[in-house]
Amino acid sequence: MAEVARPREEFFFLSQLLARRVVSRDGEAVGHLIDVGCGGGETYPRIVTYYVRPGFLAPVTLAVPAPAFEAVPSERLRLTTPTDGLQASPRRLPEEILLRREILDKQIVDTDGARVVRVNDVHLLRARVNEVRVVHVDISFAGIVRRLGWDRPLNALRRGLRAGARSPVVEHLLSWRYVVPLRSGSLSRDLRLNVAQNQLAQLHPAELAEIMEELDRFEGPAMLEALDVPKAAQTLAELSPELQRLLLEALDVRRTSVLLSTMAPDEAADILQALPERMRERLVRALPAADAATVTDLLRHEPDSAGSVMNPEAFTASPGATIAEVRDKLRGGPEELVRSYSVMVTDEERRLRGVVPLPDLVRAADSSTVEGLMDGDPVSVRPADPMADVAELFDRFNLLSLPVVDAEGHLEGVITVDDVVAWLREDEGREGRLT
Amino acid sequence: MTGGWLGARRQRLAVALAVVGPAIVTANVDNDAGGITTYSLAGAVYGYRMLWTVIPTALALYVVQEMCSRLGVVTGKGLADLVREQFGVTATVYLMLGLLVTNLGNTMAEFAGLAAALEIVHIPRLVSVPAGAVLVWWLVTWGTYRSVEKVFLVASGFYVTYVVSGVMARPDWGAVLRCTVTPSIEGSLPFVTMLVGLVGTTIAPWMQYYQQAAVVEKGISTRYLREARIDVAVGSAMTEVVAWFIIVACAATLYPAHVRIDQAADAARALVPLAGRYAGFLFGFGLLNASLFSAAILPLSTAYSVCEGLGWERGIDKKPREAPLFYGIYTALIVVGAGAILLPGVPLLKVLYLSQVANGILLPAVLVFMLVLANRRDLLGEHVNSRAFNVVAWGLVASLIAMTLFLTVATVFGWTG
Repeated sequence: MAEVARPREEFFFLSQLLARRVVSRDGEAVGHLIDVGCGGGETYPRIVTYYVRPGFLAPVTLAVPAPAFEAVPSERLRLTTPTDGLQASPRRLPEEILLRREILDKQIVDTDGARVVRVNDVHLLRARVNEVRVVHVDISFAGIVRRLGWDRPLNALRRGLRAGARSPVVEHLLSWRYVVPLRSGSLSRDLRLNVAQNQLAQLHPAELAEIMEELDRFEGPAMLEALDVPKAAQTLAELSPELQRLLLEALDVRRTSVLLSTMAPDEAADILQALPERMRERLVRALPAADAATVTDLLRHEPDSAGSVMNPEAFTASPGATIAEVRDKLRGGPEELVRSYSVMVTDEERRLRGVVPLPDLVRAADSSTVEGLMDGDPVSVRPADPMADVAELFDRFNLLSLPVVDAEGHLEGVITVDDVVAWLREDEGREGRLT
Repeated sequence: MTGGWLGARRQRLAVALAVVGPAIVTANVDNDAGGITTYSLAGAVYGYRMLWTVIPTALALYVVQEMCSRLGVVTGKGLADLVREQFGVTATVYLMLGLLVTNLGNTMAEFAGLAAALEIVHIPRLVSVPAGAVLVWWLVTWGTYRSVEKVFLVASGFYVTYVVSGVMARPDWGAVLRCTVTPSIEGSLPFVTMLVGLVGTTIAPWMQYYQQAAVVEKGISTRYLREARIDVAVGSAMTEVVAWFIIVACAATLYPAHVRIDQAADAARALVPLAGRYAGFLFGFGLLNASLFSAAILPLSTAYSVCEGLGWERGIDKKPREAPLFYGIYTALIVVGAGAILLPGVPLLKVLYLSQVANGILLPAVLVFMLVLANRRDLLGEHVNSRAFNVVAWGLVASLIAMTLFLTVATVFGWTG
């Protein structure tokens, strides 16, 4: 048989397979190959089903389980099974990904480059006699050139011009392990991203936010649903106000309230502040009572005032406590509070008495008291003070955090350096680049 | 809550303002230098007889643009994106090549219009064209989408100058209204060519791409489909009201005086002795505004669509470093478009002619793709075209295709003179 000459392993492209004629064992025409399904779960998934359409206008599709053909790839795909055993209108396997319908020409997330790219072709490997696996996606212009059939004339031109010249279009293959399909493009969508092989969890919230900005109105919420709650909350906090609004509109209220109450209250308040009034009220009502109270408190403050930016929750200690006690409390406390970079020292009436920066806490002896270590006259601001002044204080005193107190000296909250950076960046955005 | 009737009213208005924009901007870019020239010619050559075309044209414009607005709102994807995903790479690449050629020609026409408008006030094109090119390039490259759209919406307001010019031309309002509602047809070739030209300049392929992309960029959700429709209706009406006033202005003054004009700037000049200096200047200012406005939007829309179809980084919210191909195409279109007006050796008429032919091939393809997409239940769900809408839309598309083919053939054989 002619098949003997074929190499054991061979790379080829999906475009070399699609639309090829399918014939029966006797060589009679059966139809054309219209799609290829691969299984989920593996790093380089195996092709499990070939889909054949008997005629151009045929209402049914035939599903042929792999290995279906004598040889792949081939200009004429000859079936190995009898034609009458083929199943019409088949059901997809649960984890199956349809390469033509869901991958080819669609956008996918490239978790290696943390970006959204369009797939121009799919790179396949015939590993053993009839085991075909998906190994790469082609995201380069070369893929387009090949699919248009321009590669041959271009190569001929290149050879004509100068022997051995490099191809003018560079191949760029992206390993399948970095591919997260988005599976959109239809309303009857199951937009669940595949969480099992979810590479998204590896990305930083800022990177996820950047990806999110590229996705459409359906893909964005789907991606947010696929992330675990803390990651989703962090990502949401990183997004632009417009996208936050769109996403919160798309998600159901329960999920939204979980995400908002997972965030630091000041971040949640920032997001809510930018929303239309009616939507904000609806979301605040859905929050757990304690969170709703804190957030409402924050929303009371003027925009761009210290009060609107501060986190009302602070890590506090009493003046008489020993350093060892404070350290124990720190170890057990929630992570966000530790990120306030200093311990606020308050008395029984929550009046601010001093501040202990975390580095000092690390160096101090276990037995010394907070009172002995603290800066008894810390820089502080009032809730109504403008953020512009706050930013100036951070710059002048090289602060990492700054307490916010009311007229009687009661601690209202803490502003940290990341809040200031975020505010400055946003301010820059508000000014607009047109001015 | 503020509540009550006033509160609800205000809410509604806020929603309307948030949704309004894409279609109105598109509709106004539509009245570009080429459009104004065509309307001026129609008025100068045939008087009020072409006025009736504005009503059916507005309807046609609404039907076509409503479909792409709906596609954008419901799928959240641009037209280039949808064509790529549903019809594959081959269709996309050839459509994009067509779009590049047509829009390069259109961009040249805009810069030619800009040069002509400023030559009325004796500013040489060697100054005006580079200055205009730099201005639009800078505006888009350094602006964010929101701020650019605001500038464009304000620019849309300047079209009111044509309304003023029209009124200042002191037309016979009785005759004007009569001609607007009574169709007048003549079997002669120039008449039919003019008729087709009027429709052809109003419904152009770039508009569908631009509007759908703008709708998607705004992130309008399906709940506001009604407001998005109002946006389209207002935009279509605005386009045709402006067209109507330009025809009226030229028909009231140039037609009885038998003034022959070749381009829109001639009309502005001719208006000075006939309708007064201000009418002429306003007309010229309108042309300047339209040319600048369209010279900014057309290259932008082209670059965006091409990058969307081929999967390259895009968007004016990105920095040039992040989206080099997007800014590359955008800049190239402006540089080549403006450069062609300055270089003496470039056969401008030949280029415009080629672009008209490309337009003629492109429009039918785009419209058919759109209609197929707008009938896909798996994409639009309950928002697919209704049967009645389909009857109107397919009829319209068929006649638009026939007209465009006629115009293309007429251009190829030089019937348009």
